[in-house]
Amino acid sequence: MQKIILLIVGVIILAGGIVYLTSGSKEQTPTQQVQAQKEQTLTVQVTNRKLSPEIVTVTEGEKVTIRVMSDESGEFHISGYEIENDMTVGTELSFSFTADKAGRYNFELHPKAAGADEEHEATETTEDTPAAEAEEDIVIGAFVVNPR
Amino acid sequence: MKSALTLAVLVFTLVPGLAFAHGFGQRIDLPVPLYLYLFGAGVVVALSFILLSVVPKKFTKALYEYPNISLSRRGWFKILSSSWVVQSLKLFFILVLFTAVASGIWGDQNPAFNMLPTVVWVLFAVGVPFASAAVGNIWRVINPFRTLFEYVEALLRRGRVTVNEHPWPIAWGVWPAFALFFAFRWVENVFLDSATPQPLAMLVLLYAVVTFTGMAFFGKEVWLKHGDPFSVFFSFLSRFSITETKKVGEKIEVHLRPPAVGLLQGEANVSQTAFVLLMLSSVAADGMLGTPFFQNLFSSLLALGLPWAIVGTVGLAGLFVVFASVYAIFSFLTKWISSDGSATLEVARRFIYSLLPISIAYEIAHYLSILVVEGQRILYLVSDPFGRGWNLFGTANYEISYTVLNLKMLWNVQVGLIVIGHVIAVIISHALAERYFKDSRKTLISQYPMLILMIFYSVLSLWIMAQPIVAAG
Repeated sequence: MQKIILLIVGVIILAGGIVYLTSGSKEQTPTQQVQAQKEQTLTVQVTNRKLSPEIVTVTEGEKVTIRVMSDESGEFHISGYEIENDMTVGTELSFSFTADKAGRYNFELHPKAAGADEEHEATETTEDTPAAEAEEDIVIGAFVVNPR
Repeated sequence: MKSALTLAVLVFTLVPGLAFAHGFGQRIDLPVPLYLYLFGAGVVVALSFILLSVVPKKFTKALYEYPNISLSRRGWFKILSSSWVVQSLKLFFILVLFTAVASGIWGDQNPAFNMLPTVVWVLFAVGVPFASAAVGNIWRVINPFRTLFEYVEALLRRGRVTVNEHPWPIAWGVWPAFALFFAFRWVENVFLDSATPQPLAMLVLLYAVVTFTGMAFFGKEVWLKHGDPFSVFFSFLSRFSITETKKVGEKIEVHLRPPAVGLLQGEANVSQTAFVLLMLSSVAADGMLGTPFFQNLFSSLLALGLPWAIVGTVGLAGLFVVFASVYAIFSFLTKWISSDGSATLEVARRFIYSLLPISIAYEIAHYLSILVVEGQRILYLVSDPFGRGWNLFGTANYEISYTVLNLKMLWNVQVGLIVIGHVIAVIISHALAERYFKDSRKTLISQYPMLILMIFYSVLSLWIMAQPIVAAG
């Protein structure tokens, strides 16, 4: 008797799960298709070695334009996509590409070697190895490409 | 390791002026979507009930008397296990060890262009556990530290030098391995320089010193069985695998068997139970410490001025204490509900192996993307192990392909693995209960607490994988 009750409970939960899954996936398809054809322009800012917004989300296949303003000169790098561009303080950097790889990638900042960036001198007095500066990869945010 | 990187970033954003060299150990997979997470959780719960009611006694009995085939008598296996193949394999892994450590000391210090971090954190820390759980205890064969020690032993024998081996104190159990395994997980999850070649090389050398001292003092086999964290770790994992060694007459043969039946053999002692619990908690730690909840908790603790070394260490140890306490409570409930006369600790020892399938499933689900994506680094690193611009095999310019991983498929695989691991765990636990409780009513009743614990554990695994992304990681 106990076993039969267990079996019935199990089957009901399983059936409910399948119904939920099939109805859930139906809702998702149309919205995703609309997004897939979109072009997106995203405006971001680098402040104090942090990107705002910190997480940029797009959908696989979208044509993405990223516009960056930064308070520090250096290279703006999307790891995995291997897109690198130079940023200069006061000038907007703008570049476009197709987000053809799903997944989560990092936005990295490669600061200009020591001496080139004067406005950060105050904070960098704590830095005891200035020689390592040139090779810094600082993760400033995440680039999320949802699969289609 | 990933959470160490995430937290490194976190720490350095809090401490201006410091910076973190990234580019290594990045994971590109995305959280499992909510509908799939809920579906997986539902299936886990449903199957638990169904299994408990339909698993026939005949089946659980068959798990103890499982079919197995001797591989040692097959022609291809004889060639594969012939002395020259095995010896050259052993030599090959010594070469890998030496190259990797030399690269760590003298090579490019960027982890992405140095062989050591990839060899240690991807091939060794992820690849070997996968292989141990799937194929068998391969570490016994390829362990370069063992091989090196065997060479030294052979030399000493030739020189007629005898070394006194000390008996292993029984009370020690596998506690030394437990302590060292905790140290390993600490380096992986808490130590901020874990991916930096030179400090990592020093740690490998330190491990070599400890291992050699242990083997010299207690004897090779004794130390590897009780004191060496990795040999103990891999041997637990290989209980799940499809091969086993058997003594047939004078010879030791390798046999093929169904997966997971090794979990029913033997009974864990207290220290082994603790080791398995540490395996469970530390595997979960990597994913768990990366969840927004813990990241927020950690950053507020760090903001209070507590050093990361303390916060991280307490976090890792605390997670073990939580896992162990929860397991102790459920062991007590099992004992109490089945009104069994044995002590709680004994129940805990009896059922501990039944949790391993869930842990293995989570480990594979969690690290699969790292192995597939980060593992590709070895393709260019073999051509240029020191980051000096060499191109030994013509693969130095290989670029990691991120599209090898179909994220949608990965999600299904991840959830599927958790469900399969859960099913195996429930069956193993059932078979263990049948062996210990004999009476079938007691067996069924005793399974309720364990079932709740397993559902909790599997759903926790799914929950971790469905956690939203924390930026900068």
